[in-house]
Amino acid sequence: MKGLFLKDLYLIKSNIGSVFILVALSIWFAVVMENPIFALFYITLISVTTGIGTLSRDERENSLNFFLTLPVTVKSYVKEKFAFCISVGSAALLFLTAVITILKFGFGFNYVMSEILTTVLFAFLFLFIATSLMLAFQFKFGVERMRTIGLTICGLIAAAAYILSKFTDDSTIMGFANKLLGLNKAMLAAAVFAISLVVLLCSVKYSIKTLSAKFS
Amino acid sequence: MIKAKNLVKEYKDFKLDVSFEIPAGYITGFIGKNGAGKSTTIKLLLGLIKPTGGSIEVFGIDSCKLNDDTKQNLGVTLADSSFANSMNVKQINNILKLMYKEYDEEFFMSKCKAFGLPLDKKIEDFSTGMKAKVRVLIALSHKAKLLVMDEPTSGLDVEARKEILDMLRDYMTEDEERAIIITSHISTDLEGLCDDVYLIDGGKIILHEETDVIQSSYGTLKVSDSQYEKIDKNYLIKAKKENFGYVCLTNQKQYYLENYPDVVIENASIDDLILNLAGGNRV
Repeated sequence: MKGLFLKDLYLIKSNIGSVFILVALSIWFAVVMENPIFALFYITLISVTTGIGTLSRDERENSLNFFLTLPVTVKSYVKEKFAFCISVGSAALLFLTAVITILKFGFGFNYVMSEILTTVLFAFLFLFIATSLMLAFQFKFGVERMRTIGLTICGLIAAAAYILSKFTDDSTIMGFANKLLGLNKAMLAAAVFAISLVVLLCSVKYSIKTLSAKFS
Repeated sequence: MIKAKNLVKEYKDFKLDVSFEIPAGYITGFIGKNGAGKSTTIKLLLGLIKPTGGSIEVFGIDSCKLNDDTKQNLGVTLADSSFANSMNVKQINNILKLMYKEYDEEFFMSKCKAFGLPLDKKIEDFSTGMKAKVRVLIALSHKAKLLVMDEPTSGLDVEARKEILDMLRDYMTEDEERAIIITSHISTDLEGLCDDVYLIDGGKIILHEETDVIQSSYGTLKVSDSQYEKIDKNYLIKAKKENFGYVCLTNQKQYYLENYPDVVIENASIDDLILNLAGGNRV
């Protein structure tokens, strides 16, 4: 698995220019917005997408057949992809958190630290869920169809948000949000973490099954 | 080392049905026309696809159940799949170091240097010959017991082909318990390298013969229509109608040399076997 991990790092390195721009953009969002919540979720999403990009590269360059002749099995390949995406996402998230901390304490930015730490925690959970869903879809549908599905999902989310804002008044949404915030935060985090973990494990299992079926 | 018994793989419009055995110490060639079933056989052998029926064992293990440890003993070159083209030799070396327990970094790097392969240049900037050499060196780099080479010399010039075939010979000389399976469209490569060959056509093995026997006993007879009528056909395997008469394949060349001095008899090459056995009419 270590060899595959290094291989994926090299693939990202070959695209370092784009990665640098996306990271710089995240820092810019953190600087210009009063609240860095968006930047933290943004960097989480783009890092997962970058990690998943290595799977697209393997697919596009038809490398997977060859990797499976090395000391690599379908199981270890899938597990490595999950581990890689979560590692890349975690590293990016921690990096931006460090930058935000420096901005607050070094440059006097007006961030609320407790709010940032809560956001980081939820961003980690988002990282787990995004990785689980996106990798499972990618293993199932491949690069080309995944692009269409991704756009469809984005469209559905936007449509749902529009419908929600159109037919629900603000007080209902805020009431629900306040209700959530009113819950014991540790309990809430534990519950979301447990759900994320279950989703992740199910996704790993499903992806192994999907990829195994492709080699039959 | 490899045992395939009634191995079947069925697709909508194609069925592979083969049995074969490859012992240690052998270099075995798989030959046949495009679409004959060579690559399907290789994929089954590597566990990249599952058989519809029968079994194939590599090192005594079902090929679909090969794990990380058993794959340490496999060295594979695939015609259309390898590391990403954006990588360089140094990076590949670092990856292989982490993959294989018996990885011989000194061998890999020294051979790369000897072949003049740039270590920092991206593979996508390599010539076809350079890419092929890297692929073969990757397969040879970890003292594998079994090499599986799918078209390793495809698209290469004579010199590059010779260098690769010499590497494979050296690899076998180092340890007699090793084995190589090789597919190639270039039959002269196989004639000079292989101990035996399997000829596959339409998903079936239509010939298995030692290369020495092919060279010593097989021949092609070029006969006119009248000669063809008179000739003893008991030892002819196939005959193909041509403008001048018939081209006949025999595995008893000596018999015809002794009994039909007026007939043109030539040594049969692997190409002749492919052309006649996979195309001619059975006598």
